[in-house]
Amino acid sequence: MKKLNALLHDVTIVNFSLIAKMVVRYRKVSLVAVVAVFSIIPYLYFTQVVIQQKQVFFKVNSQTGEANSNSLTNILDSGTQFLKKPEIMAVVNTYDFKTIMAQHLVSSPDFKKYDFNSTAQNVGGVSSALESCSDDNCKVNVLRDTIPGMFSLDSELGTDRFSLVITTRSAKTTMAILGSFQVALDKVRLQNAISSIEDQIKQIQELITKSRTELENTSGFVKVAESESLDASIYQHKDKIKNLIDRLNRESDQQSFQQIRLKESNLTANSNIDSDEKLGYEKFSKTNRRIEELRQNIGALNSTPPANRTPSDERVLAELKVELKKNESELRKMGDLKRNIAYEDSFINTQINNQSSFAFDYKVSSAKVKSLQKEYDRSKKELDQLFELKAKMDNELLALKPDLEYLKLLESKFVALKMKKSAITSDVYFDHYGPDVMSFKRSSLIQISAFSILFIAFFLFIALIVVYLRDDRIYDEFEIEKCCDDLQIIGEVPHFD
Amino acid sequence: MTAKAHVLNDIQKNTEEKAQATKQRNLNLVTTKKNTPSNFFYRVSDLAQLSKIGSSYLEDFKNGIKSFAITSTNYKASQQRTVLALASYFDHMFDMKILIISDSPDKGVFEEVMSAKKVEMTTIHGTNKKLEVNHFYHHFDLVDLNKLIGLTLTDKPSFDFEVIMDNVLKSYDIVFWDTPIINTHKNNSRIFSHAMSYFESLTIIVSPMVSKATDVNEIKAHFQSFGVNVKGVLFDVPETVKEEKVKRWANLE
Repeated sequence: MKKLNALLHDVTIVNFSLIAKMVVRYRKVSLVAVVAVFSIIPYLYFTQVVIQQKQVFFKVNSQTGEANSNSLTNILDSGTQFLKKPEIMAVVNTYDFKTIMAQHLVSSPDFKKYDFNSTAQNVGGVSSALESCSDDNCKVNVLRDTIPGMFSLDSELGTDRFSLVITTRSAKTTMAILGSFQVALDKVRLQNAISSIEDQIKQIQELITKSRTELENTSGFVKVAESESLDASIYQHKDKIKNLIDRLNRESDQQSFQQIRLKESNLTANSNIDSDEKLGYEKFSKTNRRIEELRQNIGALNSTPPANRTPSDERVLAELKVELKKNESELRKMGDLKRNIAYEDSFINTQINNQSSFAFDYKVSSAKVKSLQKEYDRSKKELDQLFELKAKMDNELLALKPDLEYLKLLESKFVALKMKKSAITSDVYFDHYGPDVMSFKRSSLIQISAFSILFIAFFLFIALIVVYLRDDRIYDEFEIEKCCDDLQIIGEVPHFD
Repeated sequence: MTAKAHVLNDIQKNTEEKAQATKQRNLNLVTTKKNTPSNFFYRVSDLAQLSKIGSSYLEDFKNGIKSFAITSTNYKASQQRTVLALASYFDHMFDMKILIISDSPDKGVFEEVMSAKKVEMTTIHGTNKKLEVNHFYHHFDLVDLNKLIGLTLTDKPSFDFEVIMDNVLKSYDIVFWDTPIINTHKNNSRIFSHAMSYFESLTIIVSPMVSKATDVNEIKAHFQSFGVNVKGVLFDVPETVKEEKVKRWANLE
């Protein structure tokens, strides 16, 4: 107790001057501590594992929502959401996720080159465990428990991104774990998304069935069918009436034409042409034919080159040209009138022959117009009746409109979800660029030195106190004062030369 | 001027001052050099240290204490050196009769004293016993403790022993006891215990790095149980250690 009190100080609590004395007094203990410091520092520094670390950023746009969230909410609100750290941590810590990662690593052709041992110590616990495995399942089981310790996830402050830090003993292993993490996250997120969509589809199917049953109970579908049938009938009638109007217009035109033709035919048949006009027409025809003949002959003679022509040919050609000029002059004098008179004569004769036929056609057209008009009137009446029915039906359907619209929306959503399921992809996006794999030791030489010195100093302190408390020897006046009460220090024993 | 001469000068300067302060003991201070001075005083390696401890004993002497015992755990040589040095100090400073009682006068530093002794068989007044007293010139006398105790003829205290002791103590101005080691005390407790009753002051010699606190406390408790006043401790620093320290400081300078 006296010695323990000697170690204490009123101000500094510990009597440091005594501690300093002890360091000198128990030199062997101090020397062991110094040797320990200089031995332990290089040992701790050079036996450290070189850590290979890589940091990658990624984000997860959840368009389908998480499996554990309300599917109905997801159906109604399909906007993009970003996953929070607890959610992504929940995904990463699932048994499935770790298994997929382990399976991906085990299936790698470079699996034997990977080093999954802990970076904290120089022991090969995982390697030996993997070496003792005879099949892939065993390796997957070992890695499933080991891998989570090799990476850490954190959310980047102020953003929706996550930071993935992978720490292993080799760069190759770091990159392999990064790859397996990406694969596993993609796969799990895809499965989650599909599962979520399937849940939504199932729920929406139930809602559709329920809505349909309600509408069937209120004869909603019958009314809709009737309404649609009315629409079709109205459309048909409209179409029919349109056709009837077209036909009626056409037949009316035809009837008017027949009527006018019959009238004109009757007038034409009753008119006459005089004999002089007939003779003039015959002369006109004869002159015209002669001009044609002369032109053909002149053309035949002109086809022979002038050098090969005989004088008689030249004479005949000149006569033919003179005659052609003469006939052409005569024909010009007759004019067009002669030609119209000829046509009218022929036309009058034709009209006389067709007069009965035109009368029959007119009668037929008139009958057709009458029949079409009758049919048009009937169809118009039917269409009006259909419109009345349609108006009544629309009033009835107005009460059912919300239910019908709701069902329609559900059905359209159902189709959209089906399409989404068939085209869904992973919602995880990893950054393409990032820092390379960093190599470093866990503790620097300064850190290890400081730690070792503090550690050894502490143990030296403890050791010195223990040795001091166990050491009963007297070293100086201080010991006498503290251990032997009331004893005065007189001085030193004299020596003789 | 050497340190030794300096101390001697200081001692002589204080002589007259001390004469005023020593009325109660009737000390006759040495005013002139004795014809044959004890060379032990001059052979003390550190006279300043001797002066320091001597002054302490002188104070006690002035206060009426004349029987000083020196003991240790097991350092007889140190005990003898201390006794001899103190005796030399008082012999050098004052004109007084000094007695040294030692259980081993033929060993250690006393061997030299005994080689120059003049033996006298002194008859103890009031008894028919004779005590062998070894005179070291006129400086101090030396008596063998074992022979002194042997006068009782028994292992128990007796009246004769008390008369002898009273007469011996009355015959000297100051007595220094070189006591046996503690184990001898314990083994012969009855006779030694009785002798202890004549100790008026006890000094324990402690050897740094060797003596144990428990041993010191044991000695202290043992003597205190017999009513002996424990004056204090003297450190027995080996000469080699002291020389090393001096050299170390000299190198630093």
